[in-house]
Amino acid sequence: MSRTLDLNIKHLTRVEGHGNIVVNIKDGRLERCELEIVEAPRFFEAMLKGRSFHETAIITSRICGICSLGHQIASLKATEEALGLEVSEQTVLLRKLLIDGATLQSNILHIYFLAAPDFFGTTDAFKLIPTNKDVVLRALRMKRLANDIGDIVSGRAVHPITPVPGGFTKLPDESELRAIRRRLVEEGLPDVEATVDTIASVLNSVPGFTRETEYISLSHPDEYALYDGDIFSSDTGAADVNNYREMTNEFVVPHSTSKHCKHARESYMVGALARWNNNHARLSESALRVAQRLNLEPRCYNPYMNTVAQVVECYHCIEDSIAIIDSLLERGIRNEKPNQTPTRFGRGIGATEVPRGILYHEYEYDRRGNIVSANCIIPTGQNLANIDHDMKKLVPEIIDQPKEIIAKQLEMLVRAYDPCISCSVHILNVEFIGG
Amino acid sequence: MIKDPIKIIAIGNTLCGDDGIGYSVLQDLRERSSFPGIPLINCGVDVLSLIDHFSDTEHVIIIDAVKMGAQPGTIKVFETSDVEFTVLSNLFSLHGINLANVLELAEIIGAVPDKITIIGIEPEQIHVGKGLSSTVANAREEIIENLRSVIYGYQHQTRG
Repeated sequence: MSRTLDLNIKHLTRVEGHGNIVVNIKDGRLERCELEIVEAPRFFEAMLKGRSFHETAIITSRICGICSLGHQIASLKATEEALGLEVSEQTVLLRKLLIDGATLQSNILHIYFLAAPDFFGTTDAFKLIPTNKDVVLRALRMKRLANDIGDIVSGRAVHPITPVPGGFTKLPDESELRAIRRRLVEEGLPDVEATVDTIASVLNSVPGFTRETEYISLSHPDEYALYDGDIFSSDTGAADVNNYREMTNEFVVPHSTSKHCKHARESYMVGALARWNNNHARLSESALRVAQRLNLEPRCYNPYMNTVAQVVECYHCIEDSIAIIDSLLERGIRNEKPNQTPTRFGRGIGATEVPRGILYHEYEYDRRGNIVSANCIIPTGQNLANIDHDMKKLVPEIIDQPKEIIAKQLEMLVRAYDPCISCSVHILNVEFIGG
Repeated sequence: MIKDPIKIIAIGNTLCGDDGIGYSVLQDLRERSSFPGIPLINCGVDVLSLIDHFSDTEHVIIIDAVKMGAQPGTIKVFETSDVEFTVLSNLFSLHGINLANVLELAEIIGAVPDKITIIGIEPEQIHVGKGLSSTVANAREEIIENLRSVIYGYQHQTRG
């Protein structure tokens, strides 16, 4: 094997010089195989300095429009821990409902708009629309349902406003909760069943690549952990959230402005597949049946199956949302005010699962309740080293394939992780017809 | 379904220099209560959520940084039929979906409002971690003036 191949896939983001897949093979030897992504939260750490605890979550939710709810929840938990603010059971239930909605929304978009084209053998989700209009309408209906959960509980779907340190500034009406429950049952469940059918029909398009790695997620004894739990590694077991720095070990690499992470091995994976591998035993029987139908093994080492794990999570999030609403309605919504009287001023760490994996925020507050220092570790940063190592194993396995196939499989791999490129721009390019 | 007659929607990433112009204009409008009764929506980078507004609005007005090959700070008001968009395909991330994708999608599934007006501003820089350039920040008043004439033009037309 003496192949020489240079691949440089540049359209990951429009930010020049970043977000590229670079592969160089010389005389059959893999010289370079890397993914470069810019990470934005570093700017926020500087921006947060000196800000009051009332503002922290508002600023951090702007780190990213797609992942804003997750940043908000991790931020609130860190602030509450640092200031000794207890929250009520009702607040926890409402936050869990928000996380279910946000996870459902992000997973649905990823499954239908990013992964589906690969499964259906086209380069572009939009080419699928004319022949699969029902499927697209279903995807948009599910996205809207998930959005509406966010709207009802948090005030507005994209940048949540009612969740604040210590609770909520506005609570949902019971009638609104009943209405969304009805939609979850009447639209959500049939739509997610249909999603399972759709994905089951294209499973043979998922590449058979495997690479066992370390899987890290939150884990909780009583539930499929999304909102809260200990940090759990498939290699080393549970660790307290306070030890997150030892679990992430950020380090600088020359090819990326974003730091990489590692723990027990050279890299680890976070996200839906990591959650599935660590916590599948806490899913309901019906969610496990969905997993079985989708050939998702209890220990799955194929990163491309991350998308399939997301489908299982969609099912879980709908089921769990219904159960949470039932619990809220049974208790009755109590008119609680947020608890915003600090009992201490110190350091706090908030960890939560967002669609792309475990997210950490850490703050230190001074005696006036202003930020002294902040740290934020996003899932994509944690996955970057793992993506590099996946690519390094994958490329030699497919090196005899045509260049286009190698490029496609690498792109699919990166897409399976759905990297958060919070600094990506969405600039529209237009040409005026007739000048 | 009762539709909103008009919505003003900003899209763009406030982390990336002039891409945040739409949001900045919305903030100005909120502070001044310039167009009472007209919903002001920031879609940020969740550009796909535009679709939800398309189906329940008669006239959608979008404020966005647009590369038009003009001088930075140049403002152009146009409708979708006036232009050809570059549609980004082969997406890597949900973070990469842009307005052109969404307009194409809306067209195909028939979720298009009666009218879409885009107020485009040519960006000077879209660097991560930078705020608005002074050129684009200084164009805000002119953007609001353009918005005013688009809205009053439309209201006049529907009355008339």
